[in-house]
Amino acid sequence: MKKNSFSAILKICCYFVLFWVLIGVIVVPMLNTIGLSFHTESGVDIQNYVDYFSLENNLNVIKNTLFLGVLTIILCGIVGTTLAFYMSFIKVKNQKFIHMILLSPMMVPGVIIVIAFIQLYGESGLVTKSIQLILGLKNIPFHFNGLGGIMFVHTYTQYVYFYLNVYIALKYVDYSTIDAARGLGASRWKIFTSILFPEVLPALLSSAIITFISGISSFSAPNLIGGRYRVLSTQIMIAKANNYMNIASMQVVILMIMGISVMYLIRYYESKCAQESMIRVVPISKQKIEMPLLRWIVNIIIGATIILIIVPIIAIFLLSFVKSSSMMMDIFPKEFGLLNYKKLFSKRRVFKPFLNSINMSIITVVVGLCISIPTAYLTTKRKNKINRIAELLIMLPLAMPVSTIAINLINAFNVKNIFILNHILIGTYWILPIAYIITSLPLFMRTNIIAFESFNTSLEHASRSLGAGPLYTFKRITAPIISPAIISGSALVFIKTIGEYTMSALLYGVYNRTISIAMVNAMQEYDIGLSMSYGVLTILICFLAMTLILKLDKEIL
Amino acid sequence: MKKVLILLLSLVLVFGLAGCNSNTPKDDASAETPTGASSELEDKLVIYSTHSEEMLEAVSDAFTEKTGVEVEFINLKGELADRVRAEKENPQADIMFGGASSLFIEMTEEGIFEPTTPTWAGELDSMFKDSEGNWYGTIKTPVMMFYNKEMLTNEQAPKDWADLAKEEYKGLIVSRDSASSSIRSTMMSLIFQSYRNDKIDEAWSFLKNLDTNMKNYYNSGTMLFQSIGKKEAAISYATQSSIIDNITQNNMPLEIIDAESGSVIITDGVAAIKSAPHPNAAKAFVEFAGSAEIQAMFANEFNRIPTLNSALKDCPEWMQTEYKAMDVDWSVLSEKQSEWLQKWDSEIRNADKDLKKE
Repeated sequence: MKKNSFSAILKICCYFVLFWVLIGVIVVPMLNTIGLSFHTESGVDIQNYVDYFSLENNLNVIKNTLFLGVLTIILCGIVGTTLAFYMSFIKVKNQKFIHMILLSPMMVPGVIIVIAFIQLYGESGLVTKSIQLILGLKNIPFHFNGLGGIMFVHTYTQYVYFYLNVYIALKYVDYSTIDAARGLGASRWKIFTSILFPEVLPALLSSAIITFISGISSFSAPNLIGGRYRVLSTQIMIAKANNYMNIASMQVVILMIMGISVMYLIRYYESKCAQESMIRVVPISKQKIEMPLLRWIVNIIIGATIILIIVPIIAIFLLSFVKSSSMMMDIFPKEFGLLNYKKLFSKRRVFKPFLNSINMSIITVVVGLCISIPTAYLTTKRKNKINRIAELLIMLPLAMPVSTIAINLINAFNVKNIFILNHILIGTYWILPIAYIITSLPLFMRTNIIAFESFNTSLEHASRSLGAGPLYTFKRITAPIISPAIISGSALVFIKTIGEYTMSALLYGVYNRTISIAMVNAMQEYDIGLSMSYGVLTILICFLAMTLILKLDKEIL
Repeated sequence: MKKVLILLLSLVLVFGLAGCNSNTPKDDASAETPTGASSELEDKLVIYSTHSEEMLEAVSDAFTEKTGVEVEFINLKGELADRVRAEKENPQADIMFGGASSLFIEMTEEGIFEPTTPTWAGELDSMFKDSEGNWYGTIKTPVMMFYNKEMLTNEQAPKDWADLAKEEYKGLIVSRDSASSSIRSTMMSLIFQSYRNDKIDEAWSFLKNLDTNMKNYYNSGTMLFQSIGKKEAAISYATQSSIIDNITQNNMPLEIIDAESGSVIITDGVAAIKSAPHPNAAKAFVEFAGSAEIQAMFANEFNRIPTLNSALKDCPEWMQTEYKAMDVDWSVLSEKQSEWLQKWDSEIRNADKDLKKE
């Protein structure tokens, strides 16, 4: 009896802390921004919105943003799904190695990719000029800017979501069903539509949500190469820099509405066609492509894809050894050396951003786990109203573009705020880790829920009834089973956090300059080489984290 | 068990630290502001700036050497003012260093700065300072047009800002985008030329044509100069010091244009921020950063033109010859800048061009 009341108090405390955090850092800041978007010179009304929607330019910006989001889904979907099917059904040499390469864009932060792409495919880029020289063209073969450029970057950085999710989903297809269908005379198309497609649909839908949200909120690509293609995320930044916080807030609200409505639309569709997942019995047996011509074509396409994926990464490594000034006028750099690395490791100020990013990523992982593990545990154990609300709140940031989260935080925490005990957070160290934690919560929550759901509670009961205490049970039974999924989820969050740029640019201060900020700064001050060596350092760290994931999470391989 | 303990411990640590961190500056501030009696320097100083890392490092090191005060700085570029405003209720920085005088005028009205009285203030021309000592202009930053000599001859090059809108330069001009603080001031100065003649519509049509001619807006100076250096475009405008840097350090074949109606000459200011965490160090830094000695150092090492005449004599020779200056009333700009910039950004730039692929 005594024990029970103790655990009840613990539970109440747990809920209290959880809701305090969720309401304080997610809900209230969001309401704050919505409120601010109605502030006008004459008081509180909808004039901002009326003015905004009456300008054709602004409507175009909204159209552009939506179009970008949809196009991102389509392109990433096609590339990622095709690759996943190829890797699952076709016999490939060096399967593991190619799989690693296909996953590698995950390890490279978005900003550095954009910078590398400009050096490669820009008007005077290495690749652009090489093609022009080799083919003897008068004009450059392509223009890497505007919508096309942004889409190239988005496809590169985000097809991985589709690839990985579909790849994992295909692992749960029971091959004997396919065999049976074939035996009954079903055509390939029929097999695809009635067996394979329903199985990968949830994976497609959840990838679509992620790519759409990151598509409409992407900042570095439109900002650096968008040229004349303008989207909401860049307009928000401009309004903010011009001291029109209410207009920026209004644009944030529009972006949030876009994100949230698309997410719930897809979720709704998902719930309508949800089905029991199969329990895998027979794994897919991989086949060779028999027709030689077709095999050649497929091999060339896959080969080209792999080259496209790996070239920017090689370029980053290569350019990190180039003397920056030789990149200003020469198209093919001539002077190489260790100069950039010397600068990076010898100056405390230059190296500090790297440490800051690592520190903040670790804080994000630790605090994120502290919040998400109890919540995931509670929500999987019992599906009551409170748990469902908690889950909904934790997943909300998934639908919010990252720049909107940052603006919400600025609006909420530049004055004394009761939720953080009447402190002001803007400009301090802690604002950035808080932002990182908010965006990482949905990812944590998902991996943790998967971990707890796969965990059979009867094991726990068995252990308890055999006389083991709850802590002993947790240590010996629960932890070993759930920890691989949780650790690999954490490593994923770590990778995503360490190179984050959009929120960092809005919230960083003197004490927490991140590696992505330092990278862009170096780029702006004629020091491309240094910028690239920051990139190399980040890629190496992410590579380590990635190896950890692959080691722990057998599903991904 | 161990894991859980470690987790809990680190959580306690994390929040414990959080508490301390956000506490300290506030306590400092409340202790200092009312009296201001103690004049002992704090051991730290925080600078928000628009200047390059190299330049900030040089002045910080010199300041540390002289006073022993550790200096932290960040370069916020075009977002500097926005950030200082956002932190108004709880300033994290002591010094705002750089940015056009129009910004300083506007922010003085908002009560963001703490007046100071440096020893050299009297020598400074009244156009370079606030009458109440809220801010001081310590660097003259001309924004000038320039072109790649290997692409255009002297005759072909534009002679004045108005020429940039001519059809013949279509696709030859590149510019920084509005994230650059100097470009923001330049655009406003150009608008002002029409505004004071009551012909602001002319300014908008000029900017529209300029935008039509514009090949690209760049988010970084590196990419801008790269595109000129690699002959993607021939003409641009940037701060004089950055043009000279690229001529001397990167051997670029650039030629500066002394515009007929004058170049935009921005006054880069410095000011101490009100209720900042380290008020005494801030005062000392304003005194230091504006002194003839440091102005001359900026001139010799970073090509930045001093505002003090006493500093000018120790400067490179080219600074003695004056370029034509555009006539600009910065106090008018300070009133109008948000409005104009927002219009330029959201209505003029790229008008009717969205969605069309190049």
